[in-house]
Amino acid sequence: MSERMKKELEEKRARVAELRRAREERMAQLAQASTSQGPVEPLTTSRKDVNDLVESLLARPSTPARQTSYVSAQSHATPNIGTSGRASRSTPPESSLPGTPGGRASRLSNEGSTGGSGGTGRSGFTSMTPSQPMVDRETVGSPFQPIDFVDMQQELYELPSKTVKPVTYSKAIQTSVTISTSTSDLESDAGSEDERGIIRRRRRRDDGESGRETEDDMRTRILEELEEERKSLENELKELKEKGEEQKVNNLSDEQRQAIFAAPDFSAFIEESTKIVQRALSDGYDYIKDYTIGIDGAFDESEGQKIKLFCAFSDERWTNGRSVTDLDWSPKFPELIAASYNKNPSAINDPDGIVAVWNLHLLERPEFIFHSPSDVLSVTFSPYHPTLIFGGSYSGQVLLWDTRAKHLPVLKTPLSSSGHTYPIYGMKMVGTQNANNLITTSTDGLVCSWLSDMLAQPQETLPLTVPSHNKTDEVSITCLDFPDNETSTFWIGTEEGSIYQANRYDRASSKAGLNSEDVYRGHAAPITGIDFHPGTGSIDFSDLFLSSSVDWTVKLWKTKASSSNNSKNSSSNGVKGETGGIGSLHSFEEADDYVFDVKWHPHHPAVFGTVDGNGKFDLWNLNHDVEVPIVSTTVSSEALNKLAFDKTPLSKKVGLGSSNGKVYMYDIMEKLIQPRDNEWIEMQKIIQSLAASKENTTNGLVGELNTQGRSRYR
Amino acid sequence: MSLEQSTSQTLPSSQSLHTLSLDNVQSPPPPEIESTLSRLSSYRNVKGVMILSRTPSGASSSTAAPSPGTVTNASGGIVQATGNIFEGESGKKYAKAVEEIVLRVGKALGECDESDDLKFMRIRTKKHELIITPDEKYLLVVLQDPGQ
Repeated sequence: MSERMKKELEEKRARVAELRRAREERMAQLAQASTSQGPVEPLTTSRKDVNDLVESLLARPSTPARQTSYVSAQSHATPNIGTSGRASRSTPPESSLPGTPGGRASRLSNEGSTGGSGGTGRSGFTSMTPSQPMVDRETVGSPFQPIDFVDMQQELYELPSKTVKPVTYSKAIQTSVTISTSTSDLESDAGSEDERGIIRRRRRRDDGESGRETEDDMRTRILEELEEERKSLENELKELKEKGEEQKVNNLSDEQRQAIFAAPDFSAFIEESTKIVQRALSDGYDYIKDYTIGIDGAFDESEGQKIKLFCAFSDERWTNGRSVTDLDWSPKFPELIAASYNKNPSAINDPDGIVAVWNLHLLERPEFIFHSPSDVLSVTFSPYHPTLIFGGSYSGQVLLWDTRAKHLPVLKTPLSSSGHTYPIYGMKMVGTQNANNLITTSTDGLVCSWLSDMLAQPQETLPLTVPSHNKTDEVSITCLDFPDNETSTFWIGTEEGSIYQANRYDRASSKAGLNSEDVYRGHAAPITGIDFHPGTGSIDFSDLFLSSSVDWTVKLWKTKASSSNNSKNSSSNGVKGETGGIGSLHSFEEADDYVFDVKWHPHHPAVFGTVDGNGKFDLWNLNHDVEVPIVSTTVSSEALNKLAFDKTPLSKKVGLGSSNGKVYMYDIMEKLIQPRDNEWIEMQKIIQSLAASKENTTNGLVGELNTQGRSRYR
Repeated sequence: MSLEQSTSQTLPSSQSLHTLSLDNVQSPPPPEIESTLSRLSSYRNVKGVMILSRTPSGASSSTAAPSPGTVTNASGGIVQATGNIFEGESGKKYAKAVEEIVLRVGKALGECDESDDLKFMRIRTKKHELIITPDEKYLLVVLQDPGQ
């Protein structure tokens, strides 16, 4: 369509150009004629023209072609010389050539006349030049010039009234231009054929004009379109290219793959990204879950359970074949728990000891793995530096790992006589943010305190001995604990079964070292764990502590300093012929195997948990029952070594370290561990009555304190 | 059946490449990476794991194009893929899609904050969930079906 139009436009433009040229020629000739006043040379032709003119005047409808030629000549002359006024008067149907104002003028005059010389549109340009001289002559004689301008004005007025012009800006409307032209032709059907021809002519010319305008538009538009097309093509090409490339490189050669596998940043990437992905996978919640759809098995069986297994941390590569020796929750990140492990006899190439940091949001693998040249027996997060983890090893080394560093310890103590040379089972960080020490105890009775950033040698050493013991003065420390907010005085559990109080520093009442006067007797076998009451809540029970032992019992003690019946105890023990000692407040004898650990619940004053060699986890509530645990769960067939309640405000989760290398994570029903307000007062009553009953039994029967107390206090 | 035939007829080269890629997949990565990946795919919901080597964004296509066979790290492609959904042609489609997603998202992010980087994406679709961890050079994609 546009092509056709373009062609048309091209033609028109050519015609217009010719016209213009012709006019210029004529003007030049006119100028010549006016100076020469009747040139001689055109005379020959002019005679014929005169004849023609006469003829046309006499018989207008005859020979339209000739008439046209004459008329056109006349009309052409009009603008230049002003004869058109006369022409309009004399020759109505002159019908002009397109583009000349004279044409318009004649058209005006034409309106009045009915007669018309049809086929004016066919008037050849060739006829113009011959007619020129005649016009010249006419011009000379014509006195009326200004009238023509009036005509012109009218013409101009008529121009804008044409409906076609403004609609030529878009392609679609350009096509309709031709249509509207034809309709206008039809409209003017009432007029003479001649008029129609004129109109068509003019229209065409106008089209030419407007076409020229649109052409610019069109050209820009076409250019734009082309540009767009080019761009889209380019894009397509690019995409194709990319696709092709991807297609090509999608098949990496074996060499390439090996090169990638060998790259160090690749393994680092795999390590990191899989960790992230596994966290995401552990999340396990479907974000677009639709609860409007019924789910089979509507009830979770474990919903009513008091405790339920949340997960079990283990790693085939690292933890299989080892046992968990200690557990500690991160004080900073409540989802992280560190577990220490002993040696795996079947993995000779692996480090003897490891520490794994597990994440509740990353169930399938440890967040960090730390190596140790020797079995790690105790582990603790630094409460003041959340990235630091301390470990005590079987060889007597204290190791420090940093989660920002790699597997190997960033600091470790030398294996020298200045530090530990025996297994470190007890470890505790005490002090404040600005002044803190790591206290470690080894089985040879040595207590060391360390600065966390200086492990080259201990800050203090304190060898503990029991000179009063009848066989040996050695104390094999298996565990220690400090009361809440206490940094100097601590209690240790020993292999022989006694619990001693010790001071780090000299005090007014006692010297540094073991207080051999105060012996907490009761256990008949090595102590496996000591835990002081957390001392939170309305009443302070921080003088209470629990101990677990290989003798299948867990005992509740009250420290001597605050013990009101201290003297009585001493006396009663004196009756037994011992060097002195303090009896327990109560003994829990529900276990039928070694009890390996005991821990108070961090927030409930009366709740504590125990783990034993049968793989059983017991949860006790003294306010509820002092004889049997409120919950007893067999976690695994193998022994549980350690337990640790998490450090969140609720402490719903408990980690259980098993001798099969797994860390079981249990959720405790909130009801069981959420303390009521009166829980502390009840606890106080219970403690008082326990103490009272024990007093009674010691007064009545010597020995068998615990069983008596138990039956009485049922 | 007919479909298979037609594909083998129309794309003989890709077919051969395909078998090549399968061979590649069969040649095992180092045991540590292997075990890490197998642990990922051992999740019940995980349907596929794929590692892509990324085309460096800075390198224009013209530099990468002439030496696709010799360039080791500079070319993108599937390094490792496990799981039915990531094997063969569908794996390539996913690889392309993921690469494009990461590229576009990264670009868009860069327009928001140049100092920012894309680290992790979860794309939940009606059928699956794509978990993507993009790196400068590599890209880990895990496809899981969380509805189960």
